[in-house]
Amino acid sequence: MPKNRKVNTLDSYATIRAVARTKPAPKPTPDPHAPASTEAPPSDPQKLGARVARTTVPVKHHIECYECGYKFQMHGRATTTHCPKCRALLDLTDHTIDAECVETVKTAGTIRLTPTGVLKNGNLIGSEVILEGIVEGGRVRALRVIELGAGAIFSEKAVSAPDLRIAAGAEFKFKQEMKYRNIEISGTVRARLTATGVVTVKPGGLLEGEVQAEHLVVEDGGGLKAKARIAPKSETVPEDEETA
Amino acid sequence: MDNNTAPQSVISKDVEITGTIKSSGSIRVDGKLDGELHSTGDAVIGPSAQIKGNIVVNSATIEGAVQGNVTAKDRIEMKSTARVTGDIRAKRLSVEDGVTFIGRSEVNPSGSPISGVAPVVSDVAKADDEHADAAATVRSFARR
Repeated sequence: MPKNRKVNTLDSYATIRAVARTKPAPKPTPDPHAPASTEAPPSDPQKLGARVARTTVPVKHHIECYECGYKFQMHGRATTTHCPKCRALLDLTDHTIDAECVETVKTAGTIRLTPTGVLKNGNLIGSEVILEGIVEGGRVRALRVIELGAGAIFSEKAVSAPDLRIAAGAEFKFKQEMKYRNIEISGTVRARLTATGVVTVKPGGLLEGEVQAEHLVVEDGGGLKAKARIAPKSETVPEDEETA
Repeated sequence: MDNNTAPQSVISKDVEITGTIKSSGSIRVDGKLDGELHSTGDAVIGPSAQIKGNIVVNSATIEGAVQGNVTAKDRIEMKSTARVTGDIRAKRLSVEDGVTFIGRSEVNPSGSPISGVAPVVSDVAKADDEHADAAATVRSFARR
């Protein structure tokens, strides 16, 4: 490579290799009981790549475009990227809202509305939304999962997500029927739940009301006080078999 | 299950019983039972078992088909092959993915009822009025 050539792009592998080269490899601790080694030390420690003990594969991130809904994967970390389909500039950073918010926040990362945070207006759109504050106006849309923490106050119509997670210590009563793909309950919830995927009740969690799903998992220590209809799709159960 | 202390009664796969079974020890059912099962010990309902009737035991591990109510003093464990049509009641419950369960469940290990926090629109409207006199709207984003 010519010396004057400017490198504009650094991929994740190159970055990690460069970082690995700067760190000296850890020296093996000599074993006092081991017999004296007769092997000669490495001849050329400065040889390129001699200090690289291993190459770490960058973490794979699943990203969903909040503009067009296209799902793709990206290696490594970045603050922004472009959607390969609609070319929209996507924010990948995580946001924490700890005061009044009147603007729309869009990110392919995580949005956390803390207990002191109040969404007055605007929309929150994130891959994962952690709701612990108050939603007075606007809407909250999670592309992947919404977590409802203790102290969250919101209208049931104002939130939407494919997956629902009830955090430990949170207590909720829902008047409307809640339809989600996967539901994970670590807190307490009274509702009519319908899930197309798995309903998981974690230890310490309690589900009251009604539940209809294809898959139910109750971990040891989880509670279920509900009318349940759990049947895989392949297994059709006649209605008259249901108990009153 | 206290297999070492009490002998286990086994209803094997090719046995079909009509009537009530009462046992003071643990019991394993692999056959067909048309009737009730009462045991002060633990019960294992094997994958090939078919029970039409109520089950009252100390603890139950269900792998087969049960049509009836299951009541356990201690715990009910439903394995992935379990098919239960009826109500269940126990102190503790463990359900594996893949079960078929139609009925009511009364299992609350903590014993605490829901205290009554409901996210409703009226709460939001009330809070909105309280903040109406507030000065300029403050916005704060703290990026991680």
